[in-house]
Amino acid sequence: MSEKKKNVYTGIGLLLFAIFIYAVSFWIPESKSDILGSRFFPRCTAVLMGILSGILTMSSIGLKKREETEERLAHQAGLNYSLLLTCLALILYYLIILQLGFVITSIVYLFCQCLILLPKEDRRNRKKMMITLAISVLVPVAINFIFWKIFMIALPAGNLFMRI
Amino acid sequence: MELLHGFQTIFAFDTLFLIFAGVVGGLIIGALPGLSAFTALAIMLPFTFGMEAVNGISFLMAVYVGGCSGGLISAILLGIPGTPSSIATCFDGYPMAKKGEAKKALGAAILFSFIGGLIGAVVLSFAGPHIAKVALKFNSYDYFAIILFSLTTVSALSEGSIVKGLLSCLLGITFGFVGTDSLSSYYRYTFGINKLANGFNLVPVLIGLFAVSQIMLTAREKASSSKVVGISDIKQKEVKGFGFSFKEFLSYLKTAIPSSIIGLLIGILPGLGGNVSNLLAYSYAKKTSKHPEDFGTGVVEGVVASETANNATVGGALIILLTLGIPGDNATSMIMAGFQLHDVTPGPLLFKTSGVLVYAILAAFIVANVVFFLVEYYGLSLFVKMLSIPSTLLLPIVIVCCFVGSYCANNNSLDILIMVLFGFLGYLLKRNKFPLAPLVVGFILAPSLETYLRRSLMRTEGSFLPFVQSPIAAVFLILTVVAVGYTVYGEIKKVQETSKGNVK
Repeated sequence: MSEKKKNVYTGIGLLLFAIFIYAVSFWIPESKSDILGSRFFPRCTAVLMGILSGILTMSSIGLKKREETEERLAHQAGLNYSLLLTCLALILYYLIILQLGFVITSIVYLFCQCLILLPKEDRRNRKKMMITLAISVLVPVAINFIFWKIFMIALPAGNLFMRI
Repeated sequence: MELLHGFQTIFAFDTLFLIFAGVVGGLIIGALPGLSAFTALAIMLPFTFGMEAVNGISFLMAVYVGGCSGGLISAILLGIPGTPSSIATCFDGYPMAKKGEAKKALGAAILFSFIGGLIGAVVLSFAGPHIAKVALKFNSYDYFAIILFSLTTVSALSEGSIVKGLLSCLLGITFGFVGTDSLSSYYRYTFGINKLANGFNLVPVLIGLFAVSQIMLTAREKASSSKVVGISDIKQKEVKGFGFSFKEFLSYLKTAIPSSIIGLLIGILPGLGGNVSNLLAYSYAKKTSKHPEDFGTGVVEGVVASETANNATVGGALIILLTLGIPGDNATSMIMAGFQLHDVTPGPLLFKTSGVLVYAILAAFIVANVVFFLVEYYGLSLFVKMLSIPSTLLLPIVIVCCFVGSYCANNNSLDILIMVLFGFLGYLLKRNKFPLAPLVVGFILAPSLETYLRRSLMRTEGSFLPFVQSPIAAVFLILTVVAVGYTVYGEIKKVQETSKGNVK
């Protein structure tokens, strides 16, 4: 996607966000404690954001063809699976950590994330896979031990284990 | 003379050992992304329960110094600020590491952190009570004017497009509104989620924006090149000493001295946010540099400005804590808890009632700065060895630490989700070339700006005249107008030059 298109879409997105912020400000109760009230600053911010995103959009639309800089992506067109899997891993980490606890979730996350980032040829290398697995297990266990026993801070133990 | 007695008091084996342990502990925790000086103090405070007052408070001082200084390690080596006070160190420290100059960046950061801390310690020891009297004269109009002036630094932090920088700042300001309005206590933008009543915590926001987005960018790059080329693949140059000559050191002092003044000023104004001193000093250094375009590409001055300021802030914050009993931020409120634990009440009478203890604390602070300097200098090679760990292993481990850091900030699971969501936002912003620093500045400063303005208008019953009648506020308002005018002039000039170039 060219920079011009990115700026246009970003400008429109921020304009919609500014409208949203302004609209939701009506839900904030009006306070009489001071002359400006609780709504003033959010509305000012929304208006400024709207103006600036309008400027960004219009200036990008107005860009002449020769001024555009095309970004040539090195990878093929289509879904970026590594990025998608990373996003999925992060969301699942949050969702599962409270159910299964810090140690188990972190072991699974670390191993999966390392697999996502490792090149294909390294995934077939048995030694590297064993090292990855060992680190995936040792690091969360060590962190959990340090926080529980030394710092006396409880990390999430997991609802599943609490019920048992 | 009293300071010498203070040194005599702390020169006992157990006190010195505790200072060393505190610095090392604070350093390790501060270096981990997501765990700040505040977390280090919260973790270490219970260890002081059974200690004598001098030992306990010296230990806490050492943890504070170590925690504030530890953030530079991950900022330079990973591009992720270990603590909020090291955000600006990433801007040039990490590019230096990517150019193979990690040791030079670390050397400069360590030396100038020490210099900043020493300046703060000296000012604290000799002029603390007098500076405190000046700080008491600041009222809400002055705070408003100073914060408004600080927001003009957004222009210096906006690389490339000023419009994108301002939009980024406004986004940060918007996120700062979430939570309870400090004056009316009404909820804003919480959408019925009770856990958002306190707003977004700075730590998850910061590590989401910088750390989580980093792993997403790395995953994206891997898809395009089939291999993750990280900083571990770059050969780091060997250096002697700190990596620069004495002549270069003298030239860096021109950046360090104003940065330490900025750090001290921010530190002595409670509630202004010590986390922002490094950003302000960086902006000032960039604006006053002969080559501002070099900032962000890996120049030593960027690292010098940030690290000198953030360590000088520590001294400034301690001035107000010891002389007035007012904690300026979360970390100093932890130290104050430590004081109360040991039956010491900081405030105007402290120097009179517990003079020996006070000077022992000051001596401990100076010794802690020396200890951290030595530990970090001799540990320099060890820190750089961290880069030998492949990025494919290091980044996921950092993310796990970030999850721990986010959770530990408030023992709130929602903070983990906030970190992930801000990670997505940080990724989108980076991909669309929006700078992140203005977002952080807006997020930190805007709530205070709103509070001081509204509080001032309550006092003046809606009149803006007292703002210009207060000399300090008037000076900063004039500086704000000058800064904005200068920025606008610069942008107009840039646009004219661009259009002239196109016509040719």
